[in-house]
Amino acid sequence: MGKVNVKFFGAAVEAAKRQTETEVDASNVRELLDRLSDNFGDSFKQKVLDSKGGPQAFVNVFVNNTDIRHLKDLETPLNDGDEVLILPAVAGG
Amino acid sequence: MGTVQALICRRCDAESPPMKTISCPKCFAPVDVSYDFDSIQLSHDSFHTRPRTLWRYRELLPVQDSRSIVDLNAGFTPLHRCRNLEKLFGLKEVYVKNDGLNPTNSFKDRPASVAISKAIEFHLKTVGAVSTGNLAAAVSAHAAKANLPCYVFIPQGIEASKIAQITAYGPHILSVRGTYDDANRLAYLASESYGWAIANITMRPYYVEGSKTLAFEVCEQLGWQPPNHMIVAVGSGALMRAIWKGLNEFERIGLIGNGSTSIHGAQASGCAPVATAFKTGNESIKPVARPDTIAKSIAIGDPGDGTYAIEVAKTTGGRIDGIKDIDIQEAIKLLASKEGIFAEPAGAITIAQMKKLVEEGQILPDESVVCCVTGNGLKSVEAVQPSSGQWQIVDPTLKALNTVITNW
Repeated sequence: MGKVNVKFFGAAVEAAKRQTETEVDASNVRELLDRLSDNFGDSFKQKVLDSKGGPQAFVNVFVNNTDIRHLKDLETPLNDGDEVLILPAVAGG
Repeated sequence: MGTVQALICRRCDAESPPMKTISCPKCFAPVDVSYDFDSIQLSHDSFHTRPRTLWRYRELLPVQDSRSIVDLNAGFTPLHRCRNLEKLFGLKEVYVKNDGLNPTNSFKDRPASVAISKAIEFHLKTVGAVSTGNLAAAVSAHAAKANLPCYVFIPQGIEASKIAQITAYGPHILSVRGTYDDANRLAYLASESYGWAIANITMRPYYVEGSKTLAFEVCEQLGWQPPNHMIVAVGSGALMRAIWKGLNEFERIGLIGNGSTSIHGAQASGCAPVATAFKTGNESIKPVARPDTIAKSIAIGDPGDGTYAIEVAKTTGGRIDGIKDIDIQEAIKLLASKEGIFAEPAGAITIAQMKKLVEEGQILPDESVVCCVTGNGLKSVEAVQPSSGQWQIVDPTLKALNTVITNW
């Protein structure tokens, strides 16, 4: 279990009730997203998560600047002081 | 000028007013510019006296005020009839749309011109791009013309010739330690933090509108007859979808008949997340962490429009394949030696894909094909190695020359 700093960008700010940053205790990404759903309610769940509780197709989650899809996805462990970014999938190209 | 109605979400259909944005405020999905098609009155004759640039299609571009337009004469590039390739592949009609002849030598001048013009219309003071090289050059050049400060984010390891070209236009260059996707994320965070107009991120709905003019021109240059097949390289997948959107809009306003063009994509095997998902039928695209290919222009591990590129291929009867670097290099030489067109790897990959599609019966002998060559070969000279026996060192005498050419 670690105290994790979470930052929201773009439409994720609206989903997080206009907050741009928060701190959450969680041991992995799945737990973190559960906690955020509890804190921010239905609007967060509906906008940011899919039916399985993971980030929906157009949302990316980064732990210490690495996409969780390149780590252990929802099972990516979190430690004290980690930084998590939640942002729209950035198209580029 | 353009008759923009709104931004429409591709997923939830929510409408939002035209603004600087990356995605739908309700569901995060990409948004598209929609037009008031009923008010657009265009016929083939409308174009006779218009400028030979992408701005000839101004009613279908999202800039409302002509004073905002930054124009380096991008667009209306040549459509070459390739009779040597026709003979080689046994096809009736083969064309190359040579977008390497744009002002900064790639198709990216199209979206750059539109994105920077729209940024000016929005009164944004700083512009930028995240880029594997071509877009950085295009945005920097248009920013220079508009006297706007410009920040470009590029991954490490792109070609020296591209860096030299970008440098000359005078932007602030941020060489990001990491991949294109790392640069992409940083550029997004910068756009959120500083309010910059990043062409392919926060100006994206407008940016992609520039790319669709490639499809408009192909139709016009073929006498308003769209081809049976169009082949494009796939990096993010945005160009493939933009071409589909362009063909649909021309149909909708009656400039061409109803759709019969199959749109095919090609990715380098060393970075082929879209081709892999197309082949396996997966709904989601698994990003590639470390792209490894000579086709650096399309080395995008996490393609934002990948699912839409797949949708376009499926809807139009097209395909998306991975092409090996060695086949891309062969295609560069084939296109140059048979048709006199020197393409960068991401441009020549379309020729390799055409070969594959012909061999596998996807393109039939009596059909027409347009390969979109999106970048000039001088952008990545490292990709071309002389063939064995192609070079000879000769003493400066006629006798020595005679010996060499007799034995060649």
